[in-house]
Amino acid sequence: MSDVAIHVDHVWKKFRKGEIHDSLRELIPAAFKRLTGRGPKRSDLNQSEFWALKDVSFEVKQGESLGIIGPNGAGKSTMLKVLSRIMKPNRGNYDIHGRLSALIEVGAGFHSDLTGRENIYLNGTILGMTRQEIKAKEEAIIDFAGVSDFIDTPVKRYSSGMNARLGFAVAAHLQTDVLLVDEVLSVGDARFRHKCVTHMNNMLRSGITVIFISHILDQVRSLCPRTLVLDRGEVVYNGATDGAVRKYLDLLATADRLEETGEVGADVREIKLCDAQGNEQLEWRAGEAGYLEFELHVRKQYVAVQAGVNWKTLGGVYIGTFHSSRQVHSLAEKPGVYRIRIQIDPMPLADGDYEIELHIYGANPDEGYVNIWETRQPRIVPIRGNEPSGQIVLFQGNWTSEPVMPAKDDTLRPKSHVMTASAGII
Amino acid sequence: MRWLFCVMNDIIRLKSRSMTRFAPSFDRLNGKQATARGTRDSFWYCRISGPCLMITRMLKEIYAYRELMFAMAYRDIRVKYKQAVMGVAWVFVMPILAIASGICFRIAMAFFGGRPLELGAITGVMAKSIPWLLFSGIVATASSSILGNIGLISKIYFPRKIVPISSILSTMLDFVISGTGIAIILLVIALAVPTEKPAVTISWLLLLVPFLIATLVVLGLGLGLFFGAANLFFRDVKYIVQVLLQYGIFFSLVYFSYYELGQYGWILLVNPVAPILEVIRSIVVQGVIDPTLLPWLGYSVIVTLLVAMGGCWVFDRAESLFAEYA
Repeated sequence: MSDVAIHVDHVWKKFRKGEIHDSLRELIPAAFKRLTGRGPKRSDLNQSEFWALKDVSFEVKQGESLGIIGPNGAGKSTMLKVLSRIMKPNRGNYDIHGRLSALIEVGAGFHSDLTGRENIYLNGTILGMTRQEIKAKEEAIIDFAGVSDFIDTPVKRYSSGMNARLGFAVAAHLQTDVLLVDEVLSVGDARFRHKCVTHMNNMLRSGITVIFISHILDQVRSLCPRTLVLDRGEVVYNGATDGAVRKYLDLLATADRLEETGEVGADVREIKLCDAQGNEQLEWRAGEAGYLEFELHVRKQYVAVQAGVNWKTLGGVYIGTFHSSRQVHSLAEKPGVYRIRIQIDPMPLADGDYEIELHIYGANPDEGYVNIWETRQPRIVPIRGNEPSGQIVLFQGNWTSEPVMPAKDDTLRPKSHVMTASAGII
Repeated sequence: MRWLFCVMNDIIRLKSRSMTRFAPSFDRLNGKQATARGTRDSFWYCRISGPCLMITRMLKEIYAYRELMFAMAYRDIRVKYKQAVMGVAWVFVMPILAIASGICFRIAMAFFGGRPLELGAITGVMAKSIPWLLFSGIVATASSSILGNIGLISKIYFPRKIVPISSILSTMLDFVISGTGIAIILLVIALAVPTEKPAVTISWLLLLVPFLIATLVVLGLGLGLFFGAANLFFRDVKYIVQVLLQYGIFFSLVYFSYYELGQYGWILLVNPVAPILEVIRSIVVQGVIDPTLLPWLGYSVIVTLLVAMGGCWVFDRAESLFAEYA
């Protein structure tokens, strides 16, 4: 048998928009037509339907882990539901070799009136474990979840975090060959999430094949060497995770390029990252100079035009602003088209993904500076170094060290008469 | 003839052919190295021998997922009796109410007929009420079981037939408890209470009663599968079923017999439940099977098989759409 664990072959899936139920008046003749084979085939589209998955094909080998990322509505959860046989594809087929378990929601099947212990058995059976397996792992599951004090109270009295932890704890102890994970690693506090990722890494090392959907790019990067990018139902990238992340960030930015706000006073086109020669780059290198270029169309006359770039981490922590007023009096003296170039040298930020927002200000004689244009969606700037450093700021400076001579002063040496006095007190 | 032989071969060896043409197979059966396959959209996915293969496949599925079935039934039973004021007493209240209303009926009939109330009438009502409660319980629970478990259905894969089948397990447990109670009462009447006309007769035909109950269960399950699937697409099916069962007790000859309705009383025997209940009555009360009921019994059994296969067929076709129509 080949070592391909999952093989997806030109899968298409469509859904209906709007009200799903036909009226009875339309249903009966349509049902008869379908029964006698004269109706439209189920695999074509009529006007109230849309394709959620279009011609998706990929392969996952045994023991490999594949990530699937994409903007919202790209069809990632649909793909997982098709693979776990919850939905049937309209065209195409797929093959899965080995025992399959899907984690689409933590705590699936939990009944609020049953106690935590009873829910462990229920959820475990639902996920496919036998009763003996659950019995053997019961203590480990309760330990992992950290709810041993409350294990015999009905689950309706648990906090939502406890619910999620218990659900994930049961799922974490699954013995399976193929695992499909749909964004379940984002529950609980930071300590629990770290425990989840560590546990997932252990499971991966034991040879399980995993398909992993997540929006947390760091998790995808650390767990999956290969990633698929889906956009509106189609596979747009299938390869190394770094390239996939870049493509995904690109998709997010493209979706917003047409949605800038602002009055008509000025307009900005084509914000892009460049290198020293002005060629467009997809990322900046950490520790080197970074260049940002954009085209500024100024339509009205302002006394002065300034711009500011706000930097934030992906988590929303504000880092700082680089404002043009520090260096130039005005970016645009009169209306026209200008190419603005920002050079940040040296780049003080370490590797990672950062958000930038661009604001353009125009000064009127009576009002002072007014915000005349700003990005509605922040752009994402990836900065890459040779290896992940886990830092935000790269400090640059230097350390020195020189030896210091001991003092010739007697006061620093212990006095002998003090010791004699303490040794023998008369 | 050859297809019959192939089908028998399959039933004996319990394997199914041509996996690509059927709905996805399941990996548990063959252990770790089995395959799951998705199918293309194809229309006639069953061949002529489809029904028998369907049954063997269905039984294999249910056996493979039996732990899930029992876990869900256990959950239903525990939840039903937790934090309840009546709790386990509910098992006895329903039959008592049904039998008491039947007795009222019979008293009225005896009064209008100018004849004294016979014990045989009351035992007849008792013998028919319990199976009727089983049947109506099965149909009602199975019809609402799919919508009630839609959370699970849209998130986990398991053969969807498990849901109605596990939902009837709690009804069957109630039946066993109340049926045992009624059986004891009937036994006491048979042995201790002397009557002129037979009230309860113990005979070898009593061994046939479990098979008749089984027929009722299969009929109820077939209807439950059909209505359960329909309820997902048309949300008022549950209420239609409730109303039909509420008044069906009168149209199923539970409180009276077909010969007590005059010349055209046999029309009610068209209801497939009615002949089964009537035969149970005639076995329990008189110890013989009323000869006019025999062809009707055959008719009931055939209708049961057709309804069961039809319900399975409709359920299978609709099964792939459950997660979308949630």
